Amino acid sequence: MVRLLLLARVRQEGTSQFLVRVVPLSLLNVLLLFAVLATADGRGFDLIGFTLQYGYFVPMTALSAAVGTWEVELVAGVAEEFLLRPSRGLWARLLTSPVEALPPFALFAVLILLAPLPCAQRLAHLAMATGMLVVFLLLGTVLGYCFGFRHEKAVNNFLASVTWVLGFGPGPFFGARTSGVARLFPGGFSIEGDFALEWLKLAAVTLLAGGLLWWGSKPRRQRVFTR
Amino acid sequence: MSPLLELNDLWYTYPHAGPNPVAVLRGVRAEVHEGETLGIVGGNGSGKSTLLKILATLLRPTAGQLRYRGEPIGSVPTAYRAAVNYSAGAPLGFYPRLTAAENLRFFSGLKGTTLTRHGAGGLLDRVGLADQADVLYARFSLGMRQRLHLARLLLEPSALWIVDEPTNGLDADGVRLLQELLGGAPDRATVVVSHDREFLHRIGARILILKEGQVARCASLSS
Amino acid sequence: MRFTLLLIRVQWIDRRATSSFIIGITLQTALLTLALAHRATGAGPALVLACRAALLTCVTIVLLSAMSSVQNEFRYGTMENVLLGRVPLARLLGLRAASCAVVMSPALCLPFAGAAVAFPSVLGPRTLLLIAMLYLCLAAICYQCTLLLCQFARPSAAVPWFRLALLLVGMSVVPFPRARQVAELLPTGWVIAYAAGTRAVVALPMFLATVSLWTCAVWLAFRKRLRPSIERSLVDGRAAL
Repeated sequence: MVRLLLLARVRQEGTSQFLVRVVPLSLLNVLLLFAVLATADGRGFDLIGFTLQYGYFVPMTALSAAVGTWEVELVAGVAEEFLLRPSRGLWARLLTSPVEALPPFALFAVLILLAPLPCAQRLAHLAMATGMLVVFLLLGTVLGYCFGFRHEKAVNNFLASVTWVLGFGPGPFFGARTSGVARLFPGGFSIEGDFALEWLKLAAVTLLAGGLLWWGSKPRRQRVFTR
Repeated sequence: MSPLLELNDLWYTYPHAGPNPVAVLRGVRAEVHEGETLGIVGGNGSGKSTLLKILATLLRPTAGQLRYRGEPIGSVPTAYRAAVNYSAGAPLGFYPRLTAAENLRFFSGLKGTTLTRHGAGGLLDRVGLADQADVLYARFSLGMRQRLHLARLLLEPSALWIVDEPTNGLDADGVRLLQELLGGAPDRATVVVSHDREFLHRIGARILILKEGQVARCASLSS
Repeated sequence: MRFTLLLIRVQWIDRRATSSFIIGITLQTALLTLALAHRATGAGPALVLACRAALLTCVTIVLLSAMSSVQNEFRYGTMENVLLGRVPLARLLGLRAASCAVVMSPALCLPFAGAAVAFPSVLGPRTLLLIAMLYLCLAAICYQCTLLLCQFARPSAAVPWFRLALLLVGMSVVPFPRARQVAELLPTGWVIAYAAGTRAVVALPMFLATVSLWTCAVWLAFRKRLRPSIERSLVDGRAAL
């Protein structure tokens, strides 16, 4: 099923177009978002600062990838099939979306492993980045399932806003700001090395995804959007 | 003995329908018994497709209750959904960039067990699409798409088929095939919406006439 | 003038019709404005940050507009007037580009407003001139990209690359060796140079020179290839490039 889903996605877009979007364009976009404000005052490229911003980039790319893959289902008009028998379909979706989130994740994984940090911290950051990838892929998959079929623009609206909504937390726009509400955003604790609370937050996100899945599986008040 | 499915005073009003919302369904009551075919007819906008979506648990009624084998259907009706097969019909419903066989394999996986290529070929043969197994769904005509929807209904045994306008786009052979499929399982009930009363007559359906969201009449077609 | 106002209105309606676009742009502008006020250490850096923030948002809008420019002219029926010789194509595309620049005013001006709130000394003729330069720069980019994107079989595939080239290279966002010199081949590089106050004397004339040079070069290179493809589109009924 995973292979067939991936095949549908790649054929819809064209192989070369898909590869170009997923690998070089997504990496260059990450670079642009990091550097657009960071290098404005003539400073060089702060590699360690960039590395520790995985708390913004990994969830952002994971959410975008997981929600974005539902576009194919919207085009195909297969909402009913997914809504009536969600479990295997959602697993297949969840296993498909890492393909699109993997290049930025791999970049950060390599940077974390090469970072001039104590070994234990490097491993903790790597485990945290992996946890974020998995949990936000799960959340994105469930969000697409719950809201993607409700409105023709739901997926697009989400994709257009996720980069900027997450940007209010610690990341390329506000740097390592960890005061107040910013802590609620992904990476709010891990950027200062407080991993336990960050894991708790990920657990809460997982619960939220579970709740959304239950809610989304109930018969709906509104018809699904069909093209 | 309780009917397979009971529709108890079903009402449906679209949410956000403005200050004076009009109910699409207004107190629909009906029963579907095991092995019978219930044909729903009615004019455009009479609430036929909405009723089917409620039966398939895709929509939640504003009021009223649906009972399956005497038991009310719960808020996440997993067991009921496993027993039901719903088809909204062509032109959508399959991945346009997957072939007919690939689509069937994917949707069989969604229903529980992924078909082998050979298994998908067998099903396609049953609906007269054996030669089109490797053709993309996007290249299918409306009739071919409708046949693929029929093939998907055959993916698993189920107690209840809920089918919306299955004759749309089908040629004479296709309609005959559909007739055979609908009559081919005496232990299965079918609820079918169709504008084609001749077709409903041929499959021996009991008819439920919907008019402005209400049951205007429920009887066998001959009566 | 009335025609330009009509084009501005039409583009504004077009942009507003795309809810995801409006949501994205509003959030992006708000975030960047707040972030630059948070990060800037003084009026000078705030101005550069505002420039980068405005370009990050506006270049995306410009490219989307450029991509749909010619198709929209078919949609509104104005392209037929071009082919019948009533309106010169260059003028029509020029007016479209100018109206596109006007439509993106909120995204362009808000970062500067944010910078002015954080550092009131930002308010002054230099900032106003900088904003005017940005308007001209974006209108020119829209015009050039309209002509360039028409040459691609799938313009949507080329848009991300244009965007990255204009932002990563044109603003010397990634400080690779000689990044500044490469950026100054494009008008955006001179806008940033003017904002930063480096080479302030030559920045304005060089900016005007690069804008004129690129616009003329693109027009001369592609004008002959544009008209046949437009006519072909009209004749075969596709009404798109």
